[in-house]
Amino acid sequence: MICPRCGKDDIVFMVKSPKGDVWSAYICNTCCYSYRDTEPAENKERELYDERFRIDPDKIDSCPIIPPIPKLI
Amino acid sequence: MYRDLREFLLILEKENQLVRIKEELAPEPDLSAIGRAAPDTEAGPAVFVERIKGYNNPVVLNVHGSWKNHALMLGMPKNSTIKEQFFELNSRWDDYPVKPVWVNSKDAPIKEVKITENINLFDVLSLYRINKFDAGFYISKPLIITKDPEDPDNFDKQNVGTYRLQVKGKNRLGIQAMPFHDIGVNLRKAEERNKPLPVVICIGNDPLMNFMSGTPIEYAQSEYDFAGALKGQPVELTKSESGDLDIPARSEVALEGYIIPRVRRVEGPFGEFTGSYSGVRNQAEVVITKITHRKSPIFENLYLGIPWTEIDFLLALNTSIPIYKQIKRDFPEIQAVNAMYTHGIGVIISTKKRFGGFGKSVAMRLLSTPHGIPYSKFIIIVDEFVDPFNLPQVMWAITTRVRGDKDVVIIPNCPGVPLDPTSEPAGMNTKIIIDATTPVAPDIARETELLERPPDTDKWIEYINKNLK
Repeated sequence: MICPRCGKDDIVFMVKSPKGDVWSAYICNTCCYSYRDTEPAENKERELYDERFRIDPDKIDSCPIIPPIPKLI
Repeated sequence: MYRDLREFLLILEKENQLVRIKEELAPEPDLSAIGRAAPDTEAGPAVFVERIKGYNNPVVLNVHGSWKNHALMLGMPKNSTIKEQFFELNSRWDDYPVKPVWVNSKDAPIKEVKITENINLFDVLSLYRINKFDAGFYISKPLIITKDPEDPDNFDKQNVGTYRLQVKGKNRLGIQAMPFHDIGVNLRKAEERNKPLPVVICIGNDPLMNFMSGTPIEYAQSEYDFAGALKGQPVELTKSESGDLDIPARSEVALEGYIIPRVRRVEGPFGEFTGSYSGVRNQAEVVITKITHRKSPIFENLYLGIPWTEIDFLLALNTSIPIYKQIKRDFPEIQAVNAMYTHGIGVIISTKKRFGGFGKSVAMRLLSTPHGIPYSKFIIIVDEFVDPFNLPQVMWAITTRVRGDKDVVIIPNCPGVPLDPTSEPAGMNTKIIIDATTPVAPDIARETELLERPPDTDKWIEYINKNLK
Protein backbone atom coordinates (compact mmCIF):
# COMPACT_ATOMS: atom_id res chain seq x y z
CA MET A 1 0.00 0.00 0.00
CA ILE A 2 1.16 3.52 -0.82
CA CYS A 3 1.93 5.90 2.04
CA PRO A 4 -0.25 9.04 1.84
CA ARG A 5 2.61 11.15 3.15
CA CYS A 6 5.86 9.92 1.57
CA GLY A 7 4.49 8.00 -1.42
CA LYS A 8 6.49 4.83 -0.73
CA ASP A 9 4.84 1.46 -1.18
CA ASP A 10 5.61 0.64 2.44
CA ILE A 11 2.37 0.85 4.44
CA VAL A 12 1.83 -2.11 6.77
CA PHE A 13 -1.01 -3.17 9.03
CA MET A 14 -0.41 -1.99 12.64
CA VAL A 15 -3.42 -2.96 14.75
CA LYS A 16 -7.13 -3.62 14.64
CA SER A 17 -9.60 -2.13 17.09
CA PRO A 18 -9.39 -3.95 20.42
CA LYS A 19 -13.19 -3.97 20.75
CA GLY A 20 -15.25 -5.19 17.82
CA ASP A 21 -13.80 -5.19 14.35
CA VAL A 22 -14.63 -1.54 13.63
CA TRP A 23 -11.34 -0.06 12.45
CA SER A 24 -7.75 -0.88 11.62
CA ALA A 25 -4.66 1.32 11.86
CA TYR A 26 -1.73 1.30 9.44
CA ILE A 27 1.82 2.65 9.54
CA CYS A 28 4.50 3.45 6.97
CA ASN A 29 7.78 1.64 7.57
CA THR A 30 9.65 4.38 5.73
CA CYS A 31 8.33 7.63 7.25
CA CYS A 32 6.45 6.31 10.35
CA TYR A 33 3.20 8.05 9.30
CA SER A 34 0.16 6.26 10.69
CA TYR A 35 -3.60 6.53 10.23
CA ARG A 36 -6.85 4.79 11.02
CA ASP A 37 -9.09 3.60 8.19
CA THR A 38 -12.05 5.53 9.66
CA GLU A 39 -10.25 8.89 9.25
CA PRO A 40 -11.08 11.35 6.43
CA ALA A 41 -9.71 10.59 2.97
CA GLU A 42 -7.18 13.47 3.25
CA ASN A 43 -5.43 11.49 5.97
CA LYS A 44 -5.22 8.19 4.13
CA GLU A 45 -5.10 8.75 0.37
CA ARG A 46 -1.94 9.86 -1.39
CA GLU A 47 -3.71 12.05 -3.97
CA LEU A 48 -5.59 13.97 -1.28
CA TYR A 49 -2.78 14.29 1.27
CA ASP A 50 -1.93 17.99 1.74
CA GLU A 51 1.17 19.00 -0.26
CA ARG A 52 2.50 21.06 2.64
CA PHE A 53 2.86 17.98 4.82
CA ARG A 54 4.19 15.48 2.29
CA ILE A 55 7.77 14.38 2.79
CA ASP A 56 10.41 13.11 0.37
CA PRO A 57 11.54 9.67 1.58
CA ASP A 58 15.02 10.32 0.21
CA LYS A 59 15.42 13.35 2.47
CA ILE A 60 14.49 11.70 5.77
CA ASP A 61 18.09 10.86 6.63
CA SER A 62 19.07 14.51 6.28
CA CYS A 63 16.43 15.71 8.79
CA PRO A 64 17.98 17.05 12.03
CA ILE A 65 18.96 14.41 14.60
CA ILE A 66 17.60 15.15 18.09
CA PRO A 67 19.35 14.72 20.40
CA PRO A 68 22.75 14.24 18.70
CA ILE A 69 24.24 10.75 19.16
CA PRO A 70 27.27 11.18 21.45
CA LYS A 71 30.67 9.58 21.05
CA LEU A 72 31.18 6.28 22.88
CA ILE A 73 33.32 6.49 26.02
CA MET B 1 -6.69 16.77 49.31
CA TYR B 2 -7.29 14.31 46.47
CA ARG B 3 -4.71 11.52 46.06
CA ASP B 4 -4.97 10.81 42.35
CA LEU B 5 -6.70 11.66 39.08
CA ARG B 6 -9.88 9.74 39.97
CA GLU B 7 -10.34 11.59 43.24
CA PHE B 8 -9.65 14.91 41.51
CA LEU B 9 -12.27 14.18 38.85
CA LEU B 10 -14.83 13.68 41.66
CA ILE B 11 -13.95 17.14 42.98
CA LEU B 12 -14.32 18.66 39.50
CA GLU B 13 -17.72 16.99 39.12
CA LYS B 14 -18.90 18.26 42.50
CA GLU B 15 -17.76 21.77 41.60
CA ASN B 16 -19.58 21.61 38.25
CA GLN B 17 -16.27 21.58 36.36
CA LEU B 18 -16.65 18.24 34.61
CA VAL B 19 -18.88 17.19 31.72
CA ARG B 20 -19.60 13.49 31.08
CA ILE B 21 -20.33 12.23 27.59
CA LYS B 22 -22.06 8.86 27.65
CA GLU B 23 -22.76 8.37 23.95
CA GLU B 24 -20.15 6.52 21.90
CA LEU B 25 -17.81 8.86 20.00
CA ALA B 26 -15.39 8.38 17.13
CA PRO B 27 -11.67 8.70 18.00
CA GLU B 28 -11.31 11.22 15.16
CA PRO B 29 -12.34 13.97 14.92
CA ASP B 30 -14.42 14.02 18.12
CA LEU B 31 -11.68 13.78 20.75
CA SER B 32 -9.55 16.43 19.09
CA ALA B 33 -12.53 18.78 18.70
CA ILE B 34 -13.54 18.34 22.35
CA GLY B 35 -9.99 19.11 23.46
CA ARG B 36 -10.13 22.35 21.46
CA ALA B 37 -13.67 23.24 22.53
CA ALA B 38 -13.46 22.76 26.29
CA PRO B 39 -10.96 25.57 27.08
CA ASP B 40 -12.84 27.86 24.70
CA THR B 41 -15.95 27.72 26.92
CA GLU B 42 -16.46 30.11 29.81
CA ALA B 43 -16.18 27.44 32.53
CA GLY B 44 -13.39 25.44 30.86
CA PRO B 45 -14.45 22.11 32.40
CA ALA B 46 -12.78 18.73 32.04
CA VAL B 47 -14.63 16.40 29.64
CA PHE B 48 -14.94 12.69 30.41
CA VAL B 49 -15.74 10.58 27.36
CA GLU B 50 -16.99 7.21 28.55
CA ARG B 51 -17.09 5.27 25.28
CA ILE B 52 -14.91 5.51 22.18
CA LYS B 53 -15.60 3.43 19.12
CA GLY B 54 -13.42 0.32 19.00
CA TYR B 55 -11.71 0.97 22.33
CA ASN B 56 -12.01 -0.54 25.79
CA ASN B 57 -11.37 2.47 27.99
CA PRO B 58 -12.51 6.08 28.57
CA VAL B 59 -10.69 9.33 27.84
CA VAL B 60 -10.55 12.50 29.89
CA LEU B 61 -9.54 15.84 28.38
CA ASN B 62 -8.93 19.38 29.62
CA VAL B 63 -8.33 18.43 33.26
CA HIS B 64 -6.06 21.50 33.68
CA GLY B 65 -7.80 23.64 31.08
CA SER B 66 -9.19 26.63 33.02
CA TRP B 67 -8.21 28.83 35.95
CA LYS B 68 -11.11 27.25 37.86
CA ASN B 69 -9.70 23.74 37.41
CA HIS B 70 -6.23 25.09 38.18
CA ALA B 71 -7.45 26.59 41.47
CA LEU B 72 -9.19 23.33 42.40
CA MET B 73 -5.96 21.46 41.62
CA LEU B 74 -4.35 23.64 44.30
CA GLY B 75 -7.23 22.98 46.70
CA MET B 76 -8.30 26.65 46.46
CA PRO B 77 -11.81 28.07 45.83
CA LYS B 78 -12.50 27.77 42.11
CA ASN B 79 -12.88 31.50 41.55
CA SER B 80 -9.43 32.37 42.98
CA THR B 81 -7.68 34.96 40.80
CA ILE B 82 -4.52 34.14 38.90
CA LYS B 83 -2.55 36.43 41.19
CA GLU B 84 -3.92 34.66 44.28
CA GLN B 85 -2.94 31.31 42.79
CA PHE B 86 0.53 32.67 41.97
CA PHE B 87 1.20 33.79 45.55
CA GLU B 88 -0.29 30.63 47.06
CA LEU B 89 2.04 28.53 44.91
CA ASN B 90 4.93 30.80 45.76
CA SER B 91 4.36 30.24 49.45
CA ARG B 92 3.99 26.44 49.15
CA TRP B 93 7.18 26.29 47.04
CA ASP B 94 9.18 27.00 50.21
CA ASP B 95 7.86 23.78 51.83
CA TYR B 96 10.09 21.77 49.45
CA PRO B 97 11.06 19.01 50.03
CA VAL B 98 8.17 16.86 51.27
CA LYS B 99 9.47 13.33 50.83
CA PRO B 100 7.20 10.70 49.26
CA VAL B 101 6.08 7.48 50.87
CA TRP B 102 6.53 4.09 49.21
CA VAL B 103 3.78 1.49 49.08
CA ASN B 104 4.13 -2.21 48.25
CA SER B 105 3.08 -3.50 44.88
CA LYS B 106 -0.04 -5.15 46.37
CA ASP B 107 -1.22 -1.79 47.78
CA ALA B 108 -0.50 0.20 44.59
CA PRO B 109 -3.58 0.62 42.37
CA ILE B 110 -1.32 0.98 39.32
CA LYS B 111 -0.38 -2.69 39.75
CA GLU B 112 -3.94 -4.04 39.62
CA VAL B 113 -3.39 -5.46 36.13
CA LYS B 114 -0.03 -6.61 34.76
CA ILE B 115 0.70 -7.31 31.11
CA THR B 116 4.04 -8.89 30.25
CA GLU B 117 3.35 -10.55 26.88
CA ASN B 118 1.84 -9.45 23.56
CA ILE B 119 2.13 -5.78 24.47
CA ASN B 120 -0.48 -3.70 22.66
CA LEU B 121 -0.82 -0.04 23.66
CA PHE B 122 -4.17 0.14 21.87
CA ASP B 123 -5.65 -2.47 24.24
CA VAL B 124 -5.11 -0.12 27.18
CA LEU B 125 -5.07 3.43 25.78
CA SER B 126 -7.75 4.97 23.55
CA LEU B 127 -5.23 6.57 21.19
CA TYR B 128 -6.24 9.15 18.58
CA ARG B 129 -4.87 11.88 16.29
CA ILE B 130 -4.70 15.21 18.10
CA ASN B 131 -4.20 17.58 15.14
CA LYS B 132 -4.99 16.77 11.54
CA PHE B 133 -1.43 16.67 10.20
CA ASP B 134 0.29 15.13 13.19
CA ALA B 135 2.39 12.21 11.98
CA GLY B 136 0.21 9.78 13.93
CA PHE B 137 -1.41 9.18 17.30
CA TYR B 138 0.32 11.01 20.14
CA ILE B 139 0.50 10.70 23.92
CA SER B 140 0.75 14.33 24.97
CA LYS B 141 0.44 14.29 28.76
CA PRO B 142 2.74 11.57 30.09
CA LEU B 143 5.05 11.53 33.10
CA ILE B 144 8.30 10.03 31.89
CA ILE B 145 10.59 8.71 34.59
CA THR B 146 14.31 8.06 34.08
CA LYS B 147 17.44 7.95 36.22
CA ASP B 148 20.90 9.41 35.77
CA PRO B 149 22.97 6.42 34.56
CA GLU B 150 26.06 7.84 36.29
CA ASP B 151 24.27 8.25 39.62
CA PRO B 152 21.32 5.80 39.63
CA ASP B 153 20.96 5.71 43.42
CA ASN B 154 20.44 9.46 43.67
CA PHE B 155 16.68 9.85 44.16
CA ASP B 156 16.77 13.63 43.67
CA LYS B 157 18.35 13.27 40.23
CA GLN B 158 15.63 10.88 39.08
CA ASN B 159 13.76 12.82 36.45
CA VAL B 160 10.01 13.09 35.97
CA GLY B 161 9.31 15.02 32.78
CA THR B 162 6.71 15.42 30.05
CA TYR B 163 7.93 14.83 26.50
CA ARG B 164 5.75 14.12 23.49
CA LEU B 165 5.39 10.51 22.36
CA GLN B 166 4.44 9.35 18.87
CA VAL B 167 2.87 5.90 18.67
CA LYS B 168 4.89 3.92 16.12
CA GLY B 169 3.57 0.42 16.74
CA LYS B 170 1.81 -1.73 19.30
CA ASN B 171 4.84 -1.57 21.59
CA ARG B 172 6.94 1.25 20.16
CA LEU B 173 7.01 5.02 20.67
CA GLY B 174 9.00 7.94 19.29
CA ILE B 175 10.15 10.35 22.00
CA GLN B 176 11.26 13.97 21.83
CA ALA B 177 14.25 14.26 24.17
CA MET B 178 15.89 17.65 23.56
CA PRO B 179 19.55 17.92 24.63
CA PHE B 180 18.66 20.69 27.12
CA HIS B 181 15.97 18.55 28.77
CA ASP B 182 16.93 16.45 31.81
CA ILE B 183 15.97 13.30 29.93
CA GLY B 184 18.37 14.40 27.18
CA VAL B 185 21.18 14.43 29.77
CA ASN B 186 20.22 10.94 30.98
CA LEU B 187 19.99 9.62 27.43
CA ARG B 188 23.39 11.06 26.49
CA LYS B 189 25.04 9.32 29.46
CA ALA B 190 23.38 6.00 28.54
CA GLU B 191 24.30 6.31 24.88
CA GLU B 192 27.93 7.16 25.66
CA ARG B 193 28.00 3.66 27.20
CA ASN B 194 25.83 2.11 24.47
CA LYS B 195 23.30 1.07 27.14
CA PRO B 196 19.49 1.14 26.94
CA LEU B 197 17.96 3.81 29.21
CA PRO B 198 15.20 2.28 31.39
CA VAL B 199 12.04 4.35 31.29
CA VAL B 200 8.53 4.28 32.75
CA ILE B 201 5.75 6.33 31.16
CA CYS B 202 2.85 7.06 33.50
CA ILE B 203 -0.50 8.25 32.16
CA GLY B 204 -3.58 9.50 34.03
CA ASN B 205 -1.76 11.12 36.93
CA ASP B 206 -2.35 13.24 39.99
CA PRO B 207 -2.79 16.68 38.34
CA LEU B 208 -0.08 18.19 40.53
CA MET B 209 2.38 15.61 39.20
CA ASN B 210 1.66 16.77 35.65
CA PHE B 211 2.05 20.33 36.89
CA MET B 212 5.49 19.52 38.34
CA SER B 213 6.71 17.43 35.42
CA GLY B 214 6.47 20.52 33.21
CA THR B 215 8.18 22.79 35.72
CA PRO B 216 11.74 23.96 35.01
CA ILE B 217 13.32 23.00 38.35
CA GLU B 218 16.99 22.20 38.89
CA TYR B 219 18.51 18.93 37.65
CA ALA B 220 19.05 17.57 41.16
CA GLN B 221 15.66 18.62 42.55
CA SER B 222 12.94 15.98 42.81
CA GLU B 223 9.59 16.55 41.13
CA TYR B 224 8.07 14.13 43.67
CA ASP B 225 9.36 16.16 46.63
CA PHE B 226 7.95 19.32 45.03
CA ALA B 227 4.57 17.72 44.35
CA GLY B 228 4.44 16.74 48.04
CA ALA B 229 5.19 20.34 49.03
CA LEU B 230 2.46 21.71 46.77
CA LYS B 231 -0.07 19.12 47.95
CA GLY B 232 0.80 19.51 51.62
CA GLN B 233 1.07 15.70 51.86
CA PRO B 234 3.54 13.13 50.51
CA VAL B 235 2.87 11.54 47.15
CA GLU B 236 2.62 7.74 47.11
CA LEU B 237 5.24 5.93 45.04
CA THR B 238 5.92 2.32 44.24
CA LYS B 239 8.73 0.50 42.44
CA SER B 240 8.54 -0.26 38.74
CA GLU B 241 8.52 -3.92 37.67
CA SER B 242 11.90 -3.45 35.99
CA GLY B 243 14.54 -0.73 35.78
CA ASP B 244 14.39 0.17 39.51
CA LEU B 245 12.41 3.37 38.95
CA ASP B 246 10.06 5.08 41.41
CA ILE B 247 6.62 5.65 39.93
CA PRO B 248 3.37 7.14 41.25
CA ALA B 249 1.42 4.30 42.88
CA ARG B 250 -1.97 5.77 41.98
CA SER B 251 -1.58 6.72 38.31
CA GLU B 252 -3.81 4.96 35.80
CA VAL B 253 -1.24 3.32 33.51
CA ALA B 254 2.51 2.61 33.55
CA LEU B 255 4.27 1.69 30.31
CA GLU B 256 7.65 0.20 31.17
CA GLY B 257 10.52 -0.20 28.73
CA TYR B 258 13.70 1.41 27.52
CA ILE B 259 15.07 3.93 25.03
CA ILE B 260 17.04 2.10 22.36
CA PRO B 261 20.63 3.40 22.49
CA ARG B 262 22.12 5.25 19.51
CA VAL B 263 19.06 4.87 17.25
CA ARG B 264 17.08 7.75 15.71
CA ARG B 265 14.05 7.46 13.44
CA VAL B 266 11.77 9.93 11.77
CA GLU B 267 9.27 11.65 14.11
CA GLY B 268 6.75 14.43 13.66
CA PRO B 269 5.38 16.82 12.71
CA PHE B 270 3.25 17.42 15.78
CA GLY B 271 1.00 20.40 16.56
CA GLU B 272 2.93 22.06 19.38
CA PHE B 273 2.35 24.54 22.22
CA THR B 274 3.42 27.36 19.90
CA GLY B 275 0.18 26.90 17.94
CA SER B 276 2.16 25.63 14.92
CA TYR B 277 3.32 22.26 13.68
CA SER B 278 6.86 21.25 14.61
CA GLY B 279 9.28 20.07 11.96
CA VAL B 280 10.08 16.46 11.00
CA ARG B 281 13.17 15.19 12.80
CA ASN B 282 15.02 11.99 13.53
CA GLN B 283 14.45 11.25 17.20
CA ALA B 284 14.91 8.48 19.75
CA GLU B 285 12.57 5.50 20.22
CA VAL B 286 11.17 3.62 23.19
CA VAL B 287 10.29 -0.09 23.27
CA ILE B 288 7.57 -1.03 25.77
CA THR B 289 8.13 -4.40 27.44
CA LYS B 290 5.53 -4.36 30.25
CA ILE B 291 2.32 -2.53 31.12
CA THR B 292 0.70 -2.25 34.52
CA HIS B 293 -2.57 -0.42 35.02
CA ARG B 294 -5.62 0.16 37.19
CA LYS B 295 -8.83 -1.61 36.26
CA SER B 296 -10.70 0.35 33.52
CA PRO B 297 -7.80 2.78 33.12
CA ILE B 298 -8.58 6.35 32.12
CA PHE B 299 -6.55 7.72 29.21
CA GLU B 300 -5.84 11.34 30.06
CA ASN B 301 -4.55 13.35 27.12
CA LEU B 302 -4.13 16.98 26.18
CA TYR B 303 -5.01 19.08 23.13
CA LEU B 304 -2.55 21.70 21.87
CA GLY B 305 -3.62 24.51 19.58
CA ILE B 306 -3.44 28.25 19.05
CA PRO B 307 -3.44 29.59 22.65
CA TRP B 308 -5.20 29.34 24.93
CA THR B 309 -5.63 25.60 25.17
CA GLU B 310 -5.09 23.23 28.08
CA ILE B 311 -1.32 23.27 27.78
CA ASP B 312 -1.24 27.04 28.32
CA PHE B 313 -2.90 26.60 31.72
CA LEU B 314 -0.60 23.70 32.54
CA LEU B 315 2.56 25.64 31.63
CA ALA B 316 1.57 29.00 33.11
CA LEU B 317 2.32 29.43 36.80
CA ASN B 318 4.78 26.54 36.95
CA THR B 319 6.91 28.50 34.49
CA SER B 320 6.39 31.78 36.37
CA ILE B 321 7.24 30.66 39.93
CA PRO B 322 10.76 29.25 39.37
CA ILE B 323 11.72 32.34 37.38
CA TYR B 324 10.29 34.57 40.11
CA LYS B 325 12.27 32.69 42.78
CA GLN B 326 15.50 32.89 40.80
CA ILE B 327 15.30 36.62 40.00
CA LYS B 328 13.88 37.66 43.36
CA ARG B 329 16.94 36.13 45.07
CA ASP B 330 19.15 38.75 43.40
CA PHE B 331 16.62 41.57 42.97
CA PRO B 332 14.25 41.79 45.97
CA GLU B 333 12.49 44.67 44.21
CA ILE B 334 10.65 42.15 41.99
CA GLN B 335 6.93 41.97 42.81
CA ALA B 336 5.60 39.22 40.51
CA VAL B 337 6.44 37.36 37.30
CA ASN B 338 3.91 36.45 34.64
CA ALA B 339 5.63 33.97 32.30
CA MET B 340 2.36 32.51 31.02
CA TYR B 341 2.76 33.25 27.35
CA THR B 342 3.82 30.24 25.26
CA HIS B 343 5.80 28.61 28.07
CA GLY B 344 7.69 31.77 28.97
CA ILE B 345 8.54 32.99 25.47
CA GLY B 346 6.60 36.07 26.56
CA VAL B 347 7.20 37.34 30.12
CA ILE B 348 5.89 40.32 32.11
CA ILE B 349 7.68 41.31 35.33
CA SER B 350 6.59 43.97 37.82
CA THR B 351 9.30 45.59 39.90
CA LYS B 352 10.28 48.54 42.05
CA LYS B 353 13.20 50.56 40.67
CA ARG B 354 16.52 50.81 42.48
CA PHE B 355 17.92 53.40 40.02
CA GLY B 356 17.52 54.53 36.42
CA GLY B 357 17.63 51.70 33.86
CA PHE B 358 16.79 49.11 36.51
CA GLY B 359 13.97 47.63 34.43
CA LYS B 360 16.48 46.63 31.75
CA SER B 361 18.73 45.03 34.38
CA VAL B 362 15.79 42.93 35.55
CA ALA B 363 15.10 41.82 31.98
CA MET B 364 18.73 40.86 31.47
CA ARG B 365 18.68 38.85 34.69
CA LEU B 366 15.67 36.96 33.32
CA LEU B 367 17.70 36.27 30.18
CA SER B 368 20.38 34.59 32.28
CA THR B 369 18.04 32.15 34.08
CA PRO B 370 18.07 28.52 32.90
CA HIS B 371 14.59 28.80 31.39
CA GLY B 372 14.94 32.40 30.22
CA ILE B 373 18.12 31.70 28.22
CA PRO B 374 16.47 29.64 25.49
CA TYR B 375 12.77 30.46 25.94
CA SER B 376 12.21 34.09 26.92
CA LYS B 377 12.15 36.36 23.90
CA PHE B 378 9.59 39.09 24.49
CA ILE B 379 10.01 40.75 27.87
CA ILE B 380 7.93 43.55 29.33
CA ILE B 381 8.92 45.22 32.62
CA VAL B 382 6.28 47.21 34.49
CA ASP B 383 6.12 49.25 37.71
CA GLU B 384 5.44 47.63 41.06
CA PHE B 385 1.87 48.97 41.15
CA VAL B 386 0.99 47.34 37.83
CA ASP B 387 -0.45 43.83 38.08
CA PRO B 388 1.48 41.77 35.48
CA PHE B 389 -1.45 39.33 35.25
CA ASN B 390 -3.80 42.17 34.26
CA LEU B 391 -3.17 42.75 30.56
CA PRO B 392 -5.19 45.99 30.28
CA GLN B 393 -2.97 47.42 33.03
CA VAL B 394 0.14 46.19 31.23
CA MET B 395 -1.06 47.83 28.00
CA TRP B 396 -1.64 51.05 29.96
CA ALA B 397 1.98 50.90 31.14
CA ILE B 398 3.26 50.34 27.61
CA THR B 399 1.16 53.16 26.14
CA THR B 400 2.00 55.75 28.81
CA ARG B 401 5.51 54.78 29.96
CA VAL B 402 7.51 53.58 26.97
CA ARG B 403 9.79 55.99 25.09
CA GLY B 404 10.52 54.20 21.85
CA ASP B 405 14.06 55.56 21.53
CA LYS B 406 15.16 54.67 25.09
CA ASP B 407 13.02 51.86 26.42
CA VAL B 408 12.93 49.29 23.63
CA VAL B 409 16.01 47.12 23.30
CA ILE B 410 16.71 44.49 20.67
CA ILE B 411 19.47 41.92 21.19
CA PRO B 412 20.09 39.86 18.06
CA ASN B 413 21.47 36.33 17.68
CA CYS B 414 20.80 35.00 21.18
CA PRO B 415 19.85 31.47 22.22
CA GLY B 416 16.29 30.53 21.25
CA VAL B 417 13.93 27.60 21.55
CA PRO B 418 13.76 25.62 18.28
CA LEU B 419 9.98 25.07 18.51
CA ASP B 420 9.42 28.85 18.30
CA PRO B 421 8.55 29.40 14.61
CA THR B 422 10.62 32.63 14.61
CA SER B 423 13.77 30.83 15.75
CA GLU B 424 16.06 31.08 12.73
CA PRO B 425 18.26 29.13 12.50
CA ALA B 426 16.43 26.78 14.88
CA GLY B 427 17.93 27.36 18.31
CA MET B 428 18.75 31.07 17.79
CA ASN B 429 16.56 34.11 18.32
CA THR B 430 16.43 37.86 18.90
CA LYS B 431 15.45 39.11 22.35
CA ILE B 432 13.16 42.12 22.75
CA ILE B 433 12.99 44.09 25.98
CA ILE B 434 10.30 46.70 26.60
CA ASP B 435 10.96 48.69 29.76
CA ALA B 436 7.55 50.12 30.66
CA THR B 437 8.54 51.31 34.13
CA THR B 438 8.44 54.95 35.19
CA PRO B 439 11.94 56.46 34.85
CA VAL B 440 13.78 57.21 38.11
CA ALA B 441 17.04 59.15 38.75
CA PRO B 442 19.51 59.42 37.23
CA ASP B 443 17.24 58.74 34.25
CA ILE B 444 14.98 61.69 33.52
CA ALA B 445 11.41 61.93 32.30
CA ARG B 446 8.67 64.54 32.10
CA GLU B 447 7.05 65.15 35.42
CA THR B 448 3.78 63.32 35.72
CA GLU B 449 1.46 62.66 38.62
CA LEU B 450 -0.65 59.52 38.77
CA LEU B 451 -4.35 59.59 39.48
CA GLU B 452 -5.32 58.11 42.83
CA ARG B 453 -8.27 55.90 43.66
CA PRO B 454 -11.02 57.86 45.41
CA PRO B 455 -11.52 56.96 49.08
CA ASP B 456 -13.91 54.07 49.78
CA THR B 457 -13.60 52.65 46.25
CA ASP B 458 -13.29 49.11 47.65
CA LYS B 459 -16.40 49.61 49.78
CA TRP B 460 -18.35 50.66 46.69
CA ILE B 461 -17.06 47.68 44.68
CA GLU B 462 -18.46 45.44 47.38
CA TYR B 463 -21.74 47.34 47.37
CA ILE B 464 -22.13 47.15 43.59
CA ASN B 465 -21.29 43.42 43.47
CA LYS B 466 -23.75 42.69 46.25
CA ASN B 467 -26.57 44.59 44.56
CA LEU B 468 -26.16 43.05 41.14
CA LYS B 469 -29.30 41.16 40.20
